[in-house]
Amino acid sequence: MALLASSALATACAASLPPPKERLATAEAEIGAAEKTGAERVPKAKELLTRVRAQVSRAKIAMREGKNAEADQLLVRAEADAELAVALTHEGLLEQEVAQAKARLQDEEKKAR
Amino acid sequence: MRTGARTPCAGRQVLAICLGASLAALATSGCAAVQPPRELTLARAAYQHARTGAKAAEVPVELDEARRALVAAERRFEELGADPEVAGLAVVADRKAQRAESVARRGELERELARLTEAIKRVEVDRDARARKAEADARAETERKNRELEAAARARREAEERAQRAADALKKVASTVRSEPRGVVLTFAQGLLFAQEVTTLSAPARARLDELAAVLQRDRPGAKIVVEAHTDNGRSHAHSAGVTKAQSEAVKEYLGKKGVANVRAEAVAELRPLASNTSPEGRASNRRVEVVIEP
Repeated sequence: MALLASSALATACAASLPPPKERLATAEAEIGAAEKTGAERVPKAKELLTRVRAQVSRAKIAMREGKNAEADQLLVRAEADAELAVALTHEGLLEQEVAQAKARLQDEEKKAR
Repeated sequence: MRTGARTPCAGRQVLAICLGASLAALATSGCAAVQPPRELTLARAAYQHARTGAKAAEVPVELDEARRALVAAERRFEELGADPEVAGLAVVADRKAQRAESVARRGELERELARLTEAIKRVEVDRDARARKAEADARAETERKNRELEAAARARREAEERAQRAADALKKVASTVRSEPRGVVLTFAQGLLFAQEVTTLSAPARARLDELAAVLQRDRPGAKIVVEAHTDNGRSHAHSAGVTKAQSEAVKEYLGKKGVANVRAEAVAELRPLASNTSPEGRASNRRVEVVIEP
């Protein structure tokens, strides 16, 4: 619903939109969460996070120029990308743990033989 | 700025139908006559993929978010056609669908990790148990070897003590005791067992042989014994052989009666003198009985 409302507002009254400060804070919080989770250690998440940071930077510039609707759209997308980055980070780190566990199990089984 | 043609889906009624229809219907309705933006096509595919995935049932919340984002994009597509705003919304829907799949895979990975962790734990427990058993076996083996070594040392000590006791006892019985490669040789000088030319054992001789038998049975049970009777060269060999045979047999027989088995009698006669037969002392030395305790 938020998406629909945001989009509708963007179309209907782009010029009169207030600066999307809340959305900016949410996007930045998601970036922080991804970083804290360890996105730098997961290539796919790291790449996505770089894109999110660029989107947020562009959104800030748009806000400074009064292009709040454009900033809002950038931030909606940045937020979704950041959420995906967090999910991919969790998944990637788990994949690494699983790979390590498999290697360790093989090693232990080899030692046991 | 709009990149595609305006939707032909005009009028409130048609729009209502489009919004109310399912996503699949939206995608295939008359409204879709306008080419959707690539982002929307990708978002539809991503949602479809996530929705039909093997673990879709495990992420209903994430899938619902993706569905709602896709509905939003579809609705704007109905209103605006292939507009950049639609593309933006479609990207959001695509990300949410990807996120749903990622969360589903995460659940799968968590289960796999738990399974692997359990397997590693089992292997470690087995390994530790084997190590503990090997350690216990090694300890038991060391203890067994130590016990064997202690027993061997004790046996050796006892054997040495027995040998010493035997040697001491034998020294009391015989005139001389010496060690030779053929065994321990006890020499009974003339008179101790037999007087010259006599072949029967006197009472003191029997008493001496009693002592010998007791020592042999106590300290060297089962040992092979050779009784050799020797004499000087004062008589013919045939005569001396006869006398020494009788003497050695008498000793053998007596020892046998006292329980000493494995005794062999040997009549050496004058053939292995200890000293020269030219003097009375030498000849006396040669008249003797030797008892050999073989090793």
